[in-house]
Amino acid sequence: MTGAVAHSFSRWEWSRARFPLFGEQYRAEIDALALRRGNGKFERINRVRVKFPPTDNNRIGTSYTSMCGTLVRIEIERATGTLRIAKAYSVFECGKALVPEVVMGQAQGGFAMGVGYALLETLPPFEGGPGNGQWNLGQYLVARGSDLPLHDLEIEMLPPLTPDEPPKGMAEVVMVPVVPAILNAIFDATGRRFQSLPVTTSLLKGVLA
Amino acid sequence: MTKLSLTINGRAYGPVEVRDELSMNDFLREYLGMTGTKFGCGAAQCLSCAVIVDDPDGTSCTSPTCIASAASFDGKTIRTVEGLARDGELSELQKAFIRHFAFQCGYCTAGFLNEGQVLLERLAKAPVKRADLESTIAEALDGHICRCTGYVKYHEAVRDVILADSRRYLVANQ
Ligand code: FES
Ligand code: FES
Repeated sequence: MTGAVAHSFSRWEWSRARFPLFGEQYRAEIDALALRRGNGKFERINRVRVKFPPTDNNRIGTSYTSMCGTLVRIEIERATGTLRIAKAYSVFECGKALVPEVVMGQAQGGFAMGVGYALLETLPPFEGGPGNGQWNLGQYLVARGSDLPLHDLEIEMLPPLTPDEPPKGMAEVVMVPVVPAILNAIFDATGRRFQSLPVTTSLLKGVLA
Repeated sequence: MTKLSLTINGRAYGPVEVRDELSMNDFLREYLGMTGTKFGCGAAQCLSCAVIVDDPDGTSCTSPTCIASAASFDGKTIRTVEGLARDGELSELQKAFIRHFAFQCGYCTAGFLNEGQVLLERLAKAPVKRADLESTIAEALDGHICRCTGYVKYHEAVRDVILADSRRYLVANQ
């Protein structure tokens, strides 16, 4: 077996199906499956039973996709590895903003959280990590005002795609692109691709030395 | 036990006997019921618990209450967030925070208000140049953590209050 492609559907619960496979009934939370052997073509495995989550689940809430993109300009001090975000721009679309001021606050907050995730928040798993209940803000470093381009952070909220577009959730998406934007900028500046987070000052110093 | 007397928001409290290990934060929140002052990290890292201490020499600064004993505030004059409004009217800074939607959960707000208030009073005595204003505000507020996080809006709100009365807070003509 050299490849598998699956499809599933979620409505607060995943679709489920059974597939005859290797003389057994393979059950999974997917509704379509195709497999490839060797260099051959993908072949669909016909499902024998399928169950989709009830449409009644829709009353739990409907989510729509908001989009966000971020650009950052960074400066890294060669001697110390200290990184400063000199300027940043985020742009997003979230349908009709019910309270635009709160939406902007969320977007600015998300930017700060992205910065913390990319550069500061070391959270190792297991005994020595924050799970031991002993960590506090002296050890778990979160972004402070001085980690942000406080007066060079431009955030643009695009108008709804259509006049009747419903409000869409945007509280998390505004954080996401900040991280790759910073990592790409670090790559631009240092030639080094970091594969794990956070990229701390000492890691940067190591790369520049 | 220590006998504690102090002035909070212009009103005298005490003398009252307090256990030596009682924190100032507990004294305010649990004894006096003044819950505007928050308790966050309890480790002098976030300043959500900061109050204003007015020194006899006329200067003021903020001070965390989480790691300080109540007894260490004996004889001091302090202000808490409950004291910022005058005669039922919010302070300029409080109004600006609301106008800017600066806070979300509000947990850090009392600390930011006190810090901003101290900054305003300091600038009224020693104005700065417009060119130095951004860094002055940023440095003043930097000890405070807002996890929601309203750093940009807090910064803008404080700047707004200063620019609205620039003759008071900024060095003239430059
Ligand atoms: S609660 Fe006092 S500094 Fe965080
Ligand atoms: S408003 Fe929630 S922590 Fe600042």
